[in-house]
Amino acid sequence: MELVKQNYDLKHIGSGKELFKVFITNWLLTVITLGLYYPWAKANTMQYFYQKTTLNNEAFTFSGTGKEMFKGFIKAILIIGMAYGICMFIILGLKMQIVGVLLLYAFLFALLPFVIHGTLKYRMSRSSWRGIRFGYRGQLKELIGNCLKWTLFTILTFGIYGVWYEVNLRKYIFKNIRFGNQKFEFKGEASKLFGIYFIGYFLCVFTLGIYTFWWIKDIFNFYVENTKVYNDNDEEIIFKSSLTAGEIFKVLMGNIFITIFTLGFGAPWAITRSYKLYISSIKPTGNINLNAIEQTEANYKDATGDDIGDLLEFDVI
Amino acid sequence: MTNFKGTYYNGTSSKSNDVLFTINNDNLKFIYNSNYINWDLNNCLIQDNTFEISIKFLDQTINVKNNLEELKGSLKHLTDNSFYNKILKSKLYVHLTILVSIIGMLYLANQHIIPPLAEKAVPLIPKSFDNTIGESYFNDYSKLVKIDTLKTKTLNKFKEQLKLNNPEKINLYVVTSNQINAFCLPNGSIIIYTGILNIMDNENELIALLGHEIAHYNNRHSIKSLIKSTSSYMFLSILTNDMASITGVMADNINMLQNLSFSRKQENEADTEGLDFILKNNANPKGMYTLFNKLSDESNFKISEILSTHPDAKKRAKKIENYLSNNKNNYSKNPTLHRLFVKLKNE
Repeated sequence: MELVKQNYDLKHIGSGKELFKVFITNWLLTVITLGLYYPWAKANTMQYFYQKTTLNNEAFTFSGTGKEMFKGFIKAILIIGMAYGICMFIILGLKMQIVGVLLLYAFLFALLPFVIHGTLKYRMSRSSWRGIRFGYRGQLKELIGNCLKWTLFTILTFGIYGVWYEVNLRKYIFKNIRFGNQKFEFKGEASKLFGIYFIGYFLCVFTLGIYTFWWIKDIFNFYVENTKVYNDNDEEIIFKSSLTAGEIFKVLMGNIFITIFTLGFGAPWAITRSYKLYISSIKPTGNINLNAIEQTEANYKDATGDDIGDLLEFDVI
Repeated sequence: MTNFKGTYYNGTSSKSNDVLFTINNDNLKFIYNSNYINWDLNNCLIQDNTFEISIKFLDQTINVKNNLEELKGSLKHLTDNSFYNKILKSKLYVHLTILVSIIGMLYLANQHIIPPLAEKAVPLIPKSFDNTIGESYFNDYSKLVKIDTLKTKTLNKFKEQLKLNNPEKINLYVVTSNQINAFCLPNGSIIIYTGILNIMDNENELIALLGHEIAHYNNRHSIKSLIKSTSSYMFLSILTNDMASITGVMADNINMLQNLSFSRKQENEADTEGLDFILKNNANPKGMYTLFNKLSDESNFKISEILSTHPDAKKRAKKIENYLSNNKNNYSKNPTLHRLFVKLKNE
């Protein structure tokens, strides 16, 4: 096997105009169907973003469908509705307000591992490149145990452990993501991230916000440059970042103007500018042969976890 | 029959293979690894990604970047013709038109369709709901304010002298505050601030206020407003894809009560019924007029929260004035009510 080092080309090729059309079309159909179209709208949007992201000029594919997500939504609504109903009954009916509210929070906390697990399983198996699927091999029980542990630590440290929670979670997730027979790893150290947040915060305050652009760059670089893809043949791809504070400034300032002066309707252009910048700043380099990736991951059809996350606005990755 | 050039992925590896394929009668044929492969295009997923057409069969894919127009011609009847794709491909001005139309329709619906629908739904809601909401709110509210127990007692004695439709449901409370305000909860609890009592000069004004607030209770105005704004909020949330708000809006309900302003229609209703209440109790309707005048007095502006939720006080004073000049009223001074009023002011 030749170990030839190469650079891989990652790009976002969408445009503000195209995204605007996607949004408007989705919105029209959602309005006409009084909201029922939403799962299909979500699938359409995801398909758009995947199709407009290319690796070596070949697009990714999202093969999830509105129908799958619709089923997931029904289940998600039932689950959330039931939990909410029980808590409301406890609060209003049994008049045990504190118990009811605590129960609701406990429920939401407990839901997090389910959401993460379900979302990843569904989205990864529905993502592919050159026909090769991604996959998620994490175990729900493991994740629940981990989340409980990390949540406990976070509470005990008044939130400081939250940074470690995030990094640990990312490490766990990446360890379990597959792209065909390629594996992922996240090797960032939480203490470093904590430092970035901590020092960055003060610097932003002292420079009256000017440092923000460097801060964003530091956080972005932390995530990008600590990600690795590797396989059983000792081949790997590492990710370098070419993002500069200047570029961030240009894009963000431009986005603010665009969004404000169009009363929000210019958002698709703003979003596209951001995507283009961030994705093209990721420079993968390594010696994995893109012609030699094997199909290993299964199809997973249940979108419930994804849709619960959507309803509760949990964001994964 | 044209030979099209494409890149084939066999679904088990990411290796790209250049292939030549033909399309004939909805059949796509090509050679791979010395084998003839035939796909029935009716069982394939065909995606038009502008710069590339992707044809997928099970896990296998053929991507085409060249000769797209001709390929589209052969695939025309097979490509995804959903509404979504048809609208998506249209020109920008079509989308802009759609945008403006939707906003216009949403605005109209929100102003003219949702409120009456919501109001029609209210009779379906049992009165016990009103009581629960009101009680729940009062439980929290009463812990945050100072209730003047002496005045409250006197005020309730005052109430007992009046003719009410459902006296057992109405509970009056006096809260110590400079604010010139009074409001009614859905469970029949009426809170009156000492601020508004202080600007009153006679029992007729108090009767006018009580009549007005009781009318709000009798007509379930609080719940109607609540349902209207909730449905309005939910309507807009659904249509702006803000699904999480729907789950969140239910949590906001109870806190909205004190900030709800009644619609003009509801205030007019309350005024009319309030007037009936005054007459039923043989009181002097001039009290309503003087009360409104006081409320619209600019010197009371700063501390008059009631003015912000009752912006038409001047207009409504005028209405009463018209009524008064057109009607002779038989009213009698009720010594008990007068005595209790004086007691209330001086306690």
